[in-house]
Amino acid sequence: MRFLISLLLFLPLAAQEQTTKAPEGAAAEKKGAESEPAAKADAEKWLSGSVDLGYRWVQMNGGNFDVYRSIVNLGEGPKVLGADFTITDPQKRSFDQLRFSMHQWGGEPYSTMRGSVAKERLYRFSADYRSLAYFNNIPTFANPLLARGVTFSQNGYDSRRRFAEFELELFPSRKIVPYFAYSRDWGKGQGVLPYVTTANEYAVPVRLNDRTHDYRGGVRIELDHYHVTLEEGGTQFLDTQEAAYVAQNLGNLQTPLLGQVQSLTKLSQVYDVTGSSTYTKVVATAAPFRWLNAFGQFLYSKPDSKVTYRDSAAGAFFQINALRLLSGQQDLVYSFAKQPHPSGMAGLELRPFRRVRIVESIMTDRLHNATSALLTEFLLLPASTTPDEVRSFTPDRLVYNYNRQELNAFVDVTSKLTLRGGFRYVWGDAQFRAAEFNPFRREDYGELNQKVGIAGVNFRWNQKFSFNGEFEGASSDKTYFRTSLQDYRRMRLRGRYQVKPSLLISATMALLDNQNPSPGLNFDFRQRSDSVSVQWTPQGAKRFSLLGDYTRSTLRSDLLYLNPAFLGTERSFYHENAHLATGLMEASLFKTGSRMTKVSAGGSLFVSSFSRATNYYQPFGRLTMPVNARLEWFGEWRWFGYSETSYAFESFRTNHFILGFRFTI
Amino acid sequence: MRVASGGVMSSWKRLEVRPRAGLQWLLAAAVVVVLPLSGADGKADPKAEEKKKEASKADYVGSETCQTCHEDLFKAFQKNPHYLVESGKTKKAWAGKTCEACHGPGSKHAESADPKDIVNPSKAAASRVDQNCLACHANQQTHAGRIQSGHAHNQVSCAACHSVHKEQGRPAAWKPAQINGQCGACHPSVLAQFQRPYAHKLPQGAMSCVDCHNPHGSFLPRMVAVHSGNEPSCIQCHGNKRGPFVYDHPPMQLEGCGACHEPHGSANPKMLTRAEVRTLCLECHSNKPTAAAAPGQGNLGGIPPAIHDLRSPRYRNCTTCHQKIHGSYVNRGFLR
Repeated sequence: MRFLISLLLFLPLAAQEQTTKAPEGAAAEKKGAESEPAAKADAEKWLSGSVDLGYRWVQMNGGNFDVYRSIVNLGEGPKVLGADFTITDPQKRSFDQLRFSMHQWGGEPYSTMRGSVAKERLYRFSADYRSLAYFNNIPTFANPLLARGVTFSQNGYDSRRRFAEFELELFPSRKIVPYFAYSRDWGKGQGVLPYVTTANEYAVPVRLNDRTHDYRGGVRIELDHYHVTLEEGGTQFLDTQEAAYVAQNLGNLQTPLLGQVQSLTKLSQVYDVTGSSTYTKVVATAAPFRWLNAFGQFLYSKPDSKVTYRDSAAGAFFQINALRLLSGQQDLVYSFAKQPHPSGMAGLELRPFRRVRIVESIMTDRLHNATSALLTEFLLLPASTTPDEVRSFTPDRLVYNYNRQELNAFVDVTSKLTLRGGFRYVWGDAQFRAAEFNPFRREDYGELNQKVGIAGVNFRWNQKFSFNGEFEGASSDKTYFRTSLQDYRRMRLRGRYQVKPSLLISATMALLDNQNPSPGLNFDFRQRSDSVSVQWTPQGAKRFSLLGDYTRSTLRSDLLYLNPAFLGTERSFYHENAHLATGLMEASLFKTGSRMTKVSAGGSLFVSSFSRATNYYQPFGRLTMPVNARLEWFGEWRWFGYSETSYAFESFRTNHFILGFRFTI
Repeated sequence: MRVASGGVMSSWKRLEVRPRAGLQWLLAAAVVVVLPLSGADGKADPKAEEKKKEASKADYVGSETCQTCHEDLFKAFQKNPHYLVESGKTKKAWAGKTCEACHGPGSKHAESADPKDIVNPSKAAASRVDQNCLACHANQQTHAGRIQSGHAHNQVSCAACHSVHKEQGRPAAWKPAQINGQCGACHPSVLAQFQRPYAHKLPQGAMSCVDCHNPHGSFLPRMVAVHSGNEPSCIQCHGNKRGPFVYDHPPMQLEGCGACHEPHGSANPKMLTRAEVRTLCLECHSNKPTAAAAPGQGNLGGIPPAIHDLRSPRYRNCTTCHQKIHGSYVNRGFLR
């Protein structure tokens, strides 16, 4: 990959060579000495871009390095911080314009690269590649041994996810546009997950490897008043998680059962999951009359999975349902799942009057997951050479139907004021197997029935001032889950005022208030966030600019739940008050050559209180000093300070210094 | 001057024309029973109406005439994808009249140089701007559902995000940071959430808002984009969470990832909506099992009495054992 990137970085140089060769031809001979400045001017026209290279030093000023990696994860060393090139072919031979950009390469946790090339009325090709590190080892997350001082998470990952997408659009005629695309998503790495037996869990290292290929192709047919898109695609999926472990592992429960401490001494575990899917997409839009626009889409996918799972474990285990000791256990599972999934949506916009628009849509989404699994389990008893064999065949299913109908009417009261009123009706049902050991039911059945009133206002006094508000009020008599939105009110207000050309102020308010007063639940949920932003750019930001925003958010969730052991009622209360602010100040100091030396500073802060009180500060400062018209040096300092009131051992403080240069072509 | 043929229409002109009485009335009546808004069709601003009528009488003068006064704008426009229209190689034939394809006929404005004599989309109602753009762009791959999108509902026109004149007109070529800044201008509190410690990597430039949301509309709520047919865009990068699982965790299908995760950022590890795993799980798995469903009380997720004594740390961290909580291929209890 690095070699590829290096090649791509040199691409503009290769292009430059071409231009120097071009004047050597017949035209250059004719024009003689005059051709050189002309070629230079051409080069400036068709090639532009910049590359940022630098070196980062990381200084940990104390704290938990695993948490630092889980949240920030930026490393030390030489980096390609960014590169951006645009090549425009003035003669438009094989392409009109080629764009390429890449960011954060050189052992960085979040690296991206994208490019596009297009030729007018012939083709457009785009490519996107990302490589994201996923490190997660938070001592407090799902760690039953934390009270014993073990800060190693039992649900940790050190892996990398990569994503690549390529798309080609062809323009053989004005009315038909075929396109083809391929994307690949894959993850690889290692982690720690527990191997679970009936009476203990043993954290073991696992190897993770999954990948999904997605192919699709289609055609857009564009007539004057009717448009149709037909697309057919497919996916292939593979997941092979593995664990191979040989060592004494006492697990999370170290209390003896029947006089014996449980342990795992040997484990081999392999998942072999393959899946595939085909999908179809039909989208149609139409403007058959001047007063009517209509659209519809039909989507259908049919993914399936085939699974082979094997594990073989040796040690001293306790079988809780038979109250006996085991010396080993082997499992073999063959399973499959098929999930036909059709969805459809149709809508229209009707304009019966010049100032009135009526928009209606109806949508349905249906899914039926039919599965079955065959389990063969061998239980090895300490005093026996013949294992107990257990076989079970378990069919399962999940059926889910979701429907939504929405009607909105818009009235342009004046050219500056638009009012909106509407209604949304959501209904559906779901059915799946009830929880294991449920003595009453084999299947759970739930229904959804929700009615939502909608209102909105949009006011634009002039280009300087605008205001937008929307409101939803819902009443539900059936919801799927205890935590689903039931009787809720949602409101969003946004205002924007350009005080003067150099000063823009905007403010937003969002509120969600949900109530479910059912006995034994009493769910009270309220979330609100208020933001104000300022952009101050005096004299067109020639000397100074300031951008800043501040958000105050509160979240309060309060409901009752049952303690599973005794079915007694307890209370779940989650509360967060947070302040979030970001700012960026940039000032031009003095002129160096033809360009300005600039200093910028800013950063962000997050301060929250109550349920998981956290402080997270990310200030930075940067000095940019031009050397000449094409080269500038920069130095940057960043600070990452993270702390939690309840878990002091999860805090960290880090200084980052970057020294680098930008070369502009 | 005649309007170019071949189904070409000036949306501005078109929208001024009152529809014929007939089928549209039947459809309107079917959609809404009562619509006491006929008064809104009155002449709220007679002067403006008069101006528009006058403007509509103007003729087409061609882009070269526009260039005479708006040279800088025209230069920048030459690098904009819309400049292709000038060549006449597009579906709608506006060769030599690209400016007027959106601004309407400009002869009166060319004579008077009065801004009132030409249509200015930046001052027009959002729905009219959309109509104008969608006359050519209705069939873009990402535009399915535009009519029903939150942006359309809130009068956010195409021109609010896309630059029709400037060089870089195609947002796909933007850097993620630019896209995020664009969205954050109207959604600052959402963008601020990404400053929380556990969040998708937007501030780092690894992702942009449009990786997950389709700003042009989607059949999924909150304009969540679709991938692989009709799956939510989350699986575009989290393919290993797609399934289909042999044993589904129903909230994944019924309410999506947002049932447990706050994708815009959280103070809780793994972007969970609660500080502790057990409360997140038990808030749903908290119905006393009954023989009949209890309507209206969130009857899914019922649990029988279990051995889980929450005084023990082992049971306060549900995902220690139920590790395949997104769905399992092997075990009904999500243990493997």
